[in-house]
Amino acid sequence: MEKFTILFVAMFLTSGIAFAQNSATSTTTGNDNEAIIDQLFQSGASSDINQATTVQMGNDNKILAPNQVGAGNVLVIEQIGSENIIDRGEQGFNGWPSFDGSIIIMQNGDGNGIWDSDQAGSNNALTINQDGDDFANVDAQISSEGGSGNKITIDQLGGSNFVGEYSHNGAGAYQEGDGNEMDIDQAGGAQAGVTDYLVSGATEKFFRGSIENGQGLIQFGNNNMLTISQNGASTVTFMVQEGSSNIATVNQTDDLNTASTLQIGDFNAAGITQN
Amino acid sequence: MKKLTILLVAMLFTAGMAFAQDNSADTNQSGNNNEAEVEQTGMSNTAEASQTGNQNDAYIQQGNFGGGAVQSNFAEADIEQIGNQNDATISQRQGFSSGTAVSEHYIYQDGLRNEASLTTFNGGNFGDIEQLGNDNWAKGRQSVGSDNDVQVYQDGNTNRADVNQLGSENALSDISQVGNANETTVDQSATSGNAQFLENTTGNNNNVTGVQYSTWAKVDLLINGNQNTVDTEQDRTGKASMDFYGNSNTMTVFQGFDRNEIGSTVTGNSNVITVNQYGINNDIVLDGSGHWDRDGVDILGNNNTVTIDQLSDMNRASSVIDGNGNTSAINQN
Repeated sequence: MEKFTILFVAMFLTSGIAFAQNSATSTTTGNDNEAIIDQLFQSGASSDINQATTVQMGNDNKILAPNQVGAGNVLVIEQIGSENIIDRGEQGFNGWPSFDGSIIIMQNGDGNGIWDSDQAGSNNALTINQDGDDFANVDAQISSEGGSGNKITIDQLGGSNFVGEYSHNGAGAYQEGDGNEMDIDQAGGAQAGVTDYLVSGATEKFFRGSIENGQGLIQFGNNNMLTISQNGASTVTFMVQEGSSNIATVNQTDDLNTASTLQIGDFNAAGITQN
Repeated sequence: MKKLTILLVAMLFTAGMAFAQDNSADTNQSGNNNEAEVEQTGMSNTAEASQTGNQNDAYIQQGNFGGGAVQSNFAEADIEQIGNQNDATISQRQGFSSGTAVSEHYIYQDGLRNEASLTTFNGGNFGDIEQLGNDNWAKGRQSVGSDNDVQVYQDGNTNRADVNQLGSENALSDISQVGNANETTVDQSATSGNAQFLENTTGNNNNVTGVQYSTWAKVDLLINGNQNTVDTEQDRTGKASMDFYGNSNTMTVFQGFDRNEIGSTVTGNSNVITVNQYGINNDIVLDGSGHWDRDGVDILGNNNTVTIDQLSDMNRASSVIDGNGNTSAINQN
């Protein structure tokens, strides 16, 4: 029996109207469930909050395209079980930036995946915690207005995890703008930035519309930080920073690790420690 | 007692397992004022750093130095820099003093005013520095252990190559310089045996200095060009082979102790050769045919000056000169 849960809260207000606060909660127990959440509130203010929480317990569940537009949004997703999917969790999109948004994703079990988790705008935080043999694609934190002060945190436990494995339809982990930070922590043997496939022009600054291809770990802009910590026989491939004053750090422990970094620009620093 | 032994073995095994193995690191940077740093410990690790641009720094350390030192055996490190005013440094700590755990290090720099530095500890290290351009500086320092090699190739002007080998046996410095006003200094004063210094210089106004204090040391120089200066010192039983092709070159050889040998061929004009030997049974005699057995000073050219001083007993000296206006003096006291 497949169950659908649809929570649709749409408030589309002009910027002249000061505030709105939406809240949506979905909890399902069982298998083959789908949940859809849309929260739409567009305002220039950062004090307006859309909040959505979805919990799924079971296997083969899917959360489909949870979308939030506006400022100060909070999206919390928890999936407990195996073979669960989050398909395009998004805060903001082109022309509809997100400010001070927070996406928190927790997946506990094997074979779970995040197909796309995007944040467009500035000062957003994306936190992913996966425990099991999982993968995450984060095509995130970019917008046509540029982005800054965004942070991606990915913690993967349990071994055989990937950042950037699912398909060629999304960057492994991607940030565009200045002052962004990406922190990936993988335990038990993992891969980050699985392939070096990118569309042509990848070494020039470009916008998301033309980069929905690739599986690298990519930061375009200045004053960005990209840090990866891995233990086990792990691989970092195609870790790319283009811009100035960027820092790339790779820490790997145990045997049979491979790390590769590429930086284009001035005043950049790359450090790889393997011990 | 048996339990204690088992415990110790277990502890050693555990400690061995703690080191990482077969890791690979690769950094690639293009632009200016960039820094790349790779640190590795354990066995069979490889590291590469590639930089294109100016004023970049690349640093690779394999193993740790100082207190709590951690070894790195069978390692390979490679730095490539294209541009000017770049710094490349590789530090390697082998786990054994003998040459059984071989590690290799390569630095390639193409540009001006670049610096390359290799520093290793323990034996079995092979280092290679290649620099193309002017005002570059290559430095090699190998401490402790046997079977360490350093090779330096510099093509350009006013370059410097400094090698300091402080290990035990079988140290080798192989320096090649093409250009003018270059300088080589090789210090093998703290090696214990069979040190070798090979120099191949092509150009003018170059300066070569070598010091060897170990027994059975060998210095082998080939100088092509004019107004070059060579100064070598061997303080134990050693052999020197020195060939000059050019004019107005100056060669000074000092050999202390006994049973030293020199073979030298000079082709050109206005060269000055000075040999000082202190000890017994030293040979400067034309009595062999092999590279290291062709004792004697053989000069073809004009206005050359040869001075040989042998200050002890049972020494032999010979100089053969073919040309005009040459001066030969042999002093045996």
